[in-house]
Amino acid sequence: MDQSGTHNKQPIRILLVEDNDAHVKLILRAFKEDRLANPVHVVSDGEQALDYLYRRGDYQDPIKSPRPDMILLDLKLPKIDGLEILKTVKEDVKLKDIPVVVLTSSTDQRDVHEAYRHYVNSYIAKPVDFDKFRQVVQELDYYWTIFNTKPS
Amino acid sequence: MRATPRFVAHWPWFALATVLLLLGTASWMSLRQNFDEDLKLTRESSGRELHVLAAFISVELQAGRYQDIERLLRDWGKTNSSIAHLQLVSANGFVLATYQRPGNVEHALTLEQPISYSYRGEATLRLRIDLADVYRHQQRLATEFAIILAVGAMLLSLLVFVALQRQREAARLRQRTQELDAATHALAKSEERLKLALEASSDGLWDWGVQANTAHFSPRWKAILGYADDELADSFETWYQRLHPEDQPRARAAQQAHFDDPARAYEPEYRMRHKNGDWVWIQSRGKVVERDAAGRPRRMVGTITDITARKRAQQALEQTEQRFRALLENLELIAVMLDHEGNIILCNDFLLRLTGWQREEILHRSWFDIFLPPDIRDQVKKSVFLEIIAAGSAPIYYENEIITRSGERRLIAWNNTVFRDPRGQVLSTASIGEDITERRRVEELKEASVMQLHAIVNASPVPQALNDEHQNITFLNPAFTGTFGYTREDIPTLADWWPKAYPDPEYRQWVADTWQATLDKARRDNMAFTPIELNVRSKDGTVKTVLVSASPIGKSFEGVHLVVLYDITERKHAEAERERLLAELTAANVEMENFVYTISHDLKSPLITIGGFASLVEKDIAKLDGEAAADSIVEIKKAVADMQGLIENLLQLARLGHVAGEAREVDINALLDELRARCARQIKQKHATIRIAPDIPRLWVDPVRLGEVLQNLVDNALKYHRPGVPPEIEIGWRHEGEWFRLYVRDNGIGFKKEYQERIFELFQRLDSHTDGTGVGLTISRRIIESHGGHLTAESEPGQGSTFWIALPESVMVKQGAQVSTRDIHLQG
Repeated sequence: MDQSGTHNKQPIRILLVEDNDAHVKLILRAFKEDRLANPVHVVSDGEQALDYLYRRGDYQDPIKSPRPDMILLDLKLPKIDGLEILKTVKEDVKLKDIPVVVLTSSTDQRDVHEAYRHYVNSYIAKPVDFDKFRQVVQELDYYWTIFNTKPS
Repeated sequence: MRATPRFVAHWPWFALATVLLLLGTASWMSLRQNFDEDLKLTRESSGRELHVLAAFISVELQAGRYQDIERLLRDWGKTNSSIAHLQLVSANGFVLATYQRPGNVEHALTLEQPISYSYRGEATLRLRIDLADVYRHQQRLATEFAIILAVGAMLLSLLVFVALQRQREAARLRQRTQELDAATHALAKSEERLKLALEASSDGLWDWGVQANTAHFSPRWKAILGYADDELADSFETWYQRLHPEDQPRARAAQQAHFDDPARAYEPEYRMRHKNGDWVWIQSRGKVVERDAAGRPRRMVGTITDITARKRAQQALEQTEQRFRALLENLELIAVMLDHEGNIILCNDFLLRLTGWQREEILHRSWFDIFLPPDIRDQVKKSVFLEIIAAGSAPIYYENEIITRSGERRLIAWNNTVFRDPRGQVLSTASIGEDITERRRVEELKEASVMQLHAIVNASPVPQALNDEHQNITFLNPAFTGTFGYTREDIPTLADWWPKAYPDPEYRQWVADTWQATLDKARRDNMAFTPIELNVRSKDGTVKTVLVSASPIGKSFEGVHLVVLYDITERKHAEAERERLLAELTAANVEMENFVYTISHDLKSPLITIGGFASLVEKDIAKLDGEAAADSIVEIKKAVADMQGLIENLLQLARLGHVAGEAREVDINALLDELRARCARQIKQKHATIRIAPDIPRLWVDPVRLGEVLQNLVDNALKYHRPGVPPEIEIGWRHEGEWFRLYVRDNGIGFKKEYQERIFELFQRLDSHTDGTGVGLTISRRIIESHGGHLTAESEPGQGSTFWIALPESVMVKQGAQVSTRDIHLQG
């Protein structure tokens, strides 16, 4: 992986796909509380997420819209479903290496099963308590370490 | 017959004789001529040796031709010629060879001298005839001829004689026949007279000298016993010896009785031995014609008559009667004869056995008093018996009850006959009666069971039909006619039923095959018929599904059988309905599951927000950061409001269900005008324009629900406008085919084609930043679907969107002539 070499020099870039503004605020706050200064790019629906990943529409500039090192993905999204995005990413040879963590309010087994069937790297249910949100973000760090140390 | 034709009848004989005479003459003439020629030849010769030249044998003897001579000689030897010698003489007169004719002509001629082969030249064959031979020959011929002539003449004269003789004989015969005819005629006449005069022409006469013991028997008397007149001696013994030993005493006794008392006729019947050994039955009648001074019989004369035939007939009659009587007694039938007053003259044993009476107890007593039950006694006697007597004829068949000695009643079927005297008066009646008590009981039971069957079948709510062995439909129960409409007049036979019940030939064939297969199986399975499901066409054309079963009334399906057709049409419908409901329920369950899933997810979202920000408020307060806390509380409030909106929409959706509200005639234009008035503030704010077609037809719908849909669509059109572009909304209608369509068109932001179905899903929103819960379009679609229509959308990003409400044209309220499809006139 080309990113593995640059791991220590550049902070990992995160693409947050989340339509709920309040949830975006909470997640970003959790990052802040954990003193993680990672650049987080937020898109609010499935269509925007795919536009970002494929550098279409408003996201054609690679400087402004760099390739993310990790995707935080809500499942229930306007226009295009989170599972659809997961599927697209994991079926694309250029994108499938990007770790995808599903962060959703659904704890439904069908969703979990479908996500894993489409090679999600991790599935995390959104906690109601903010401290737990912080734990999630800390865990993300942990996941990241694991994903990146995985042999390619 | 005349003489001449009879003479002429012998002409072949005369012809033959004449021909023989002529032949004889001709042959003699020819012989005579030959003889003359031979004589001539002889005269030409000189001396005893005659040299005759025969030109045909004047041959040139060349080498190898001597065979011709040989053949000539051989032929000559076979002829009957009288020429006996031949000489072969050369032209110069040398005798080359001499030949002697052999005595036996059959023998081949042998050459006495071989021909000299050395001679070459002409030679002459000379014939030498011995005259003595010739004369001998001539004499023999003459003798033969004379004999022939004599015989011919004799034959002829004989024939003439015979012919004449026969003619005379015929004439004599004719005359005799005529005489005989006359005599016969006369005889016949006298015989007839005799026959008429004497009745006992076939009787034999006898004349007995009682004391002298002499007897005389007429030829006829003897002929009766098979003897000629001279074959039997005229004596008492002649009679007595031939009398049957068993009959001798009787005959003698009769004689004695007559002797003793002349008033007692002598008329015995006895048997006598016939010449051929048989016994002949004789009836003898006689009378003493002379008595001596003491009164003792001296002479008795009489006749005998052959009564064998009569005796035989009598015996046969007796035998027949005996047989008949035995038959009557052995029959299990009552035989009874009544006189004209109803008294019993005769009865058989069966009656006695049946009723328990003794014969002597009932003979000559009233039948009616003994045997008829009191309740019907007078009626039967008066109305039946006395009627018979009066009318002189009996009803052939009659039934009534009789009573036995022990009081038991038996039902008897009678066959009656009446006997009349010569004047036609009824003397008696004879009746043969059959005890039908048991049979009637069985019949009644059978009838009752048939009636029971009919009652059961009649009362059954299940259609049933009875068919007989001739393929006739003999009975249909009311349920059959009630279910299928057919009466027996419609379908008298199975041949009428099949094409009516199964009009499709292919299906009919299938039914026939299935029916046959089921019958075959039933025959193997002890008549258990496995019901088969068939589709039967009723008289009114509806098709009924029936479960058909059959059962033989007798022993086999070929006889009378019952067919049961259980109508399961309703059951089938119910089954189909159940299947449909089950499928609907399953679909509803799936929908519900999806619904619950969606709700749980979307309701969680604001909870997460509230929970998260509540934690933050805690921290903010701990840090005394009022601004941050206020900010968090705003988020919490927003989430609470979101949740409230969600719950309200959900409640609305739940209330909606699948049920359409109350439909009535609605003026859509009025409805839209109200709507526009409600949105007036928004319209003004956004500088929006709403154009509504002025002539939207009145519809038969739920006004509240349709109003909600239109409100929702107009709200959306106002909400999703392009930034800086005032919304322009157009509402119009079309009538296309079976559908009435209302549309709401805007010039707003629009959406991609791929989202045109997704927007109707629950909680689906294309834009997360705009207010809304993602329930409105879901509800709208449900409402339109509950009206039997559908709600769809078409759009292009930036091109505005059009929402189509399609409703079945039946919702349109008829109002005069309408153009089915037309452009809409819009107004500002």
